[in-house]
Amino acid sequence: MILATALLALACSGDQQAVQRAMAPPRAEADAPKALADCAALDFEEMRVLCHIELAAQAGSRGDSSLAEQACDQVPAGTWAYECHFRAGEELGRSGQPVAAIEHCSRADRFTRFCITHAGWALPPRADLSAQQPIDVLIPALDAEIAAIEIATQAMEAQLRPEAVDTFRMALWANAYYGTGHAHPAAALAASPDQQPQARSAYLFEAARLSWPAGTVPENTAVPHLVALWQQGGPALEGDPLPPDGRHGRYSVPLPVPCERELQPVPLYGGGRRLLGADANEDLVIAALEALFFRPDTTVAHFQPWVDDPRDRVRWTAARLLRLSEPGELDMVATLEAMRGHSDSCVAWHARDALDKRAWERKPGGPR
Amino acid sequence: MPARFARCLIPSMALLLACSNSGEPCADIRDEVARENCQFERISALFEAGDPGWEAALQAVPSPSSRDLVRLRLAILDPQKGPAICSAVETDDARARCQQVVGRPHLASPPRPPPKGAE
Repeated sequence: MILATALLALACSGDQQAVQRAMAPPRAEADAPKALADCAALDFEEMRVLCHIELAAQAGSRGDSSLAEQACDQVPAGTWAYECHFRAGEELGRSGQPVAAIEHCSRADRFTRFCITHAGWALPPRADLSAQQPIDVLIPALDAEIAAIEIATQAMEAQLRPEAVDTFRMALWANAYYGTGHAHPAAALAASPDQQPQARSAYLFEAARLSWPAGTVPENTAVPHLVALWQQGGPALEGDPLPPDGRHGRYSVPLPVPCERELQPVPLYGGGRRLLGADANEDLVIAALEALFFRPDTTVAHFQPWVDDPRDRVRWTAARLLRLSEPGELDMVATLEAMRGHSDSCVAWHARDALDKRAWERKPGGPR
Repeated sequence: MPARFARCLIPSMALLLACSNSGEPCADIRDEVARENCQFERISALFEAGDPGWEAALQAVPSPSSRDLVRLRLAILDPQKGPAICSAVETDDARARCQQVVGRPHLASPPRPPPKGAE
């Protein structure tokens, strides 16, 4: 009787081998033809799709662009094929292969922009592309890397190319400086002209981190201090390095600022964007303001004086960063109410929008 | 011997009858893949037609793994509804596979409209 009941229980639940196979993740460590065949052998089309995408991601994380491509080729055209290339692209970025990552991201259709952002910011630091390398070694190596990236973006929609190249320029320069524990502007000053904004920002991110080590707060003269470090060409700053997975800061989401619609932004470390200065000196101040904002302990007081700067883009940058910062000892509402009457309509826009959204009331140090 | 056989057979037949009368019209199909596909096609037809009865039809599927397979297939069919569908999965394996949908919020964004002038 016991045997009969057990058999019947089995009969009621039915044979579930195909279901169990469909639910199991693929194993990319198996040889490529076997892994592809395992996915193709699944009995349900939708589960074959998930299997091939997971296989593409695993292949990407091992730097195997070819297997990722073969896996994605098995996914029917449309959303899931785009997702497959997106997963492959971001994992190839994480494994340090920007060109292969871009090739996959270019085929991710409406996910291309996300894919580029993820792949760029996952790019691991490389010793041979560190700012501590001799300048005559570093600069040609970075130029060659960026040239290869520019060529890879040719497969991408034309309107996405400039942002994609700028994202990887910034990622490569950020990896050269940020979190390394060393900041000397020599390498950034030697950057090729089209990489200057990114090189400047990367140096200033690390200079802002090392100038005021953890537990100390930047003084109110922090911006002129950082500008002077750049303009005087040093001295070299030294401090504790950050592990690559600990290189985080305060990020800001892009805001639809009316005055900035026609201006090409510069992607910033980690996914934010900043304005490009009208000239190198203006760009240096903007980059310094943004580098200070990346430190979660920088308060409104650091940005307030710059809201009245004679240069448009410096004012707009300061107004944006002010509204997104923690108030510190300032009365944020009163500060913004005063800014509402600013003669610059863009600064006034920031004040009005900030009073509506009240970002300063969110978790300190969190995304803005 | 025949009496002993009958003693075993009668309750077994009763249980088998109970099993096949689960109310799930595909449950009697012996081939596993055909049975799973039958369940999926019935439920996805209701789901795609916007018929809220799809959830009751899903609950009538006897095995949690089979219910989860239907859920996963629906989530892939309609990734915009994937997070809601995946929130109801019952097995750990399906929860892990659902991360490929739930953990990717861009999948819930609508497809781009075709470029102007395209048919």
